[in-house]
Amino acid sequence: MKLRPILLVEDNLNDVELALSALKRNRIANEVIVARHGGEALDYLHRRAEHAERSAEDPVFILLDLKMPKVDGLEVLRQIKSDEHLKMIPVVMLTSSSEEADLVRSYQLGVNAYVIKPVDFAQFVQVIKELGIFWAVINTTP
Amino acid sequence: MSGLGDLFSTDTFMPHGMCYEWNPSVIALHVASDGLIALSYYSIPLTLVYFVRRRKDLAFDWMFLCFAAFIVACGTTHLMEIYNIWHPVYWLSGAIKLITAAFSVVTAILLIRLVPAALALPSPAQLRLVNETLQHEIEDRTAAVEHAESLNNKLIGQTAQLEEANHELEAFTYSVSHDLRAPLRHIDGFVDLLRAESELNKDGARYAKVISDSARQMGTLIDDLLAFSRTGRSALQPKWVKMDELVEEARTTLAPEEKDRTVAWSIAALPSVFADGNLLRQVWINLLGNALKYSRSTEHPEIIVGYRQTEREYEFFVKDNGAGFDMKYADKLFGIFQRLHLKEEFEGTGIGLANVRRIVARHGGRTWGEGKLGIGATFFFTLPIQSPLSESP
Repeated sequence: MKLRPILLVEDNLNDVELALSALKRNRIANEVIVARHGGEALDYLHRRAEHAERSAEDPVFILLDLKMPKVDGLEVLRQIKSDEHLKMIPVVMLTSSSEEADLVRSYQLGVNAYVIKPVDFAQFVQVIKELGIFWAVINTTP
Repeated sequence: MSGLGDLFSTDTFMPHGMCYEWNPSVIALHVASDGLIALSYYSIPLTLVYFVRRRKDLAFDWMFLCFAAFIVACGTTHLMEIYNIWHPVYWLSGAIKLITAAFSVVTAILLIRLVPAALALPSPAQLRLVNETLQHEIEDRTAAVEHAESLNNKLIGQTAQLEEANHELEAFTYSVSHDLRAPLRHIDGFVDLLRAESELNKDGARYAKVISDSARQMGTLIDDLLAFSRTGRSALQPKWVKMDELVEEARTTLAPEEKDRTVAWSIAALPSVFADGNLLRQVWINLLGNALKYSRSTEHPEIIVGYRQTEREYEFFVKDNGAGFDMKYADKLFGIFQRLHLKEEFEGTGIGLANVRRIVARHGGRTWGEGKLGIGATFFFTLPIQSPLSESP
C-alpha cells in the first residue's frame, strides 16, 4: 500500500531544507509535498489550479507554519477546519512563535497539535522524528 | 352685672355724646376719626394675611398672624367708641378692650422673645454679600472644572499614547519571538548539516561547535527576554496563597539541582499572602535556585528561608553560605542580563533576579541583596500585609 504524503506548508526555504533533512534523517518514508504559502496549500488540498489533476491521496497530516506572507497559517487552519472533508486531516502547527495569543487562537480554530520549533537543531530533528512517527505511523485517521 | 345678657345693658350710664354736649362738630370729628382708624385697622390684617399666604418662605409667619389679630381687636375698640356716643354699652366696650388688651400683651411678649431670633436672620445687605461670595465661588469652581476637564483630556491623550506604545511593544515582542528565532535555527541547523555532510578538520569542527553554541545561547537569551516581557504584561491573578506551599513546589521543581548533594535546609513556617501564586512561585524558584547554584562548591551548603513581620509588610529572605558577592555590585544584581560571574563558573543568562524584582514590584514590594565574597548571600523581598490588590482576607 502506498503511503499517504505529508504536506509541509513553509515559506522559508531554509526551514524547508532543514525540515526535509530532519525527516530524511529519521527515515520517515512518506512523500513530502511542500507548499510555499497558504494559498498554494489550499489549492493543493482543494485540488485547484496547478494541483487540479493531482493523483496523490489527501495528506496523512499537515505541518503548517504560522507566519507566512498573504494567507497565513491561522487562515489556512481556519479554512481547513471549516471544510467538512478537509477537517479530518490532522494539522500540526510548527512555528517559531511562543506567543500565547497564537497558541490560543490555533486551538480555538481546532488545531491538532502546536509545536514550537527549537533553536537547537538536534532537538528539532528529535521533534520532527516524534511528530512523523506519531502522526504518520501511530495515529489512525478516518 | 350678673350674666352675659347684662353685657348689653346700659344701666343708668349716659351715652358718650352727653360728654360732647351733643356738639355736632365734636361728634363728627370723633366719628370720622374713629371710623377711619377702624377701617384702616381692618384693612391691615387683610394685607398681612395676603402677604403671608403669598410668601411661603417667610420666617416667623405666625408672628404676622398675631399682629393681624391684635390690629383687628384694636379696630373693633374704635368702632365701639363710635357706638358709645349714642349707646352707653360700656360693659361690652370694656370687654372688647379686655380682649384687645389680651391680644396686645401676648403679641408684645412674643415680639420681645422673637427679637434675638429675628436679629439672627440675615439682613438684605448681608444676603447680598453672601450672594457675591457665592458668585465668586461659582466662578472659581467653574474655572476648576474647566481645568479638570483639560487635565482629563490630556490624560485621555496620554492613555492613547501609552496604548499605542503597548501595541508597539507587543508587535516588537512578537517579532522577537518569531523573526529573530528563525535565523538562529537556520545557523544551528546548517552548521549541523555541515558537520554531518563534509569532512571538517579539528579546527573546523571546533569553529562549528562555537557557532552552534552561540546560536543556542542567543536562543536562550531570546526565550528569557520573552518570558521577562510576559511577566510584565500578563494581568495579575491574585488570591490567597500559602507561602509554605509555594516554597515546597519550588523545591520540587529544583530537585534535579540537588541531586548528589546534601544541602542543609532550614525553612521557617511562612504566612499566607494575597498575591499571584504562579508569579510568586517563580520568585521562589529563582531565589532558591540561585542559593543552590552558588553554594555548589561549598563544603557544607546551608540554605535558610524565613521572614520577618513589620507593621505594614512581610520581609522574606533566602540566605545561603555560597559564593556570595561583592556589595560594590549590589545594584547591578537585579538588572536584566547582568551577571557577576563568568559563564564557566556559574551558568545562566542573568534574567532571574530581574524577573524577581519585576514580579515583587508588581505586588507593591521591594527587593535587595546582601552578600560577602566567599561567605554567602542573602536575598530579601517584601510584600505588603494589606495587599494593595486585596480588600480583606
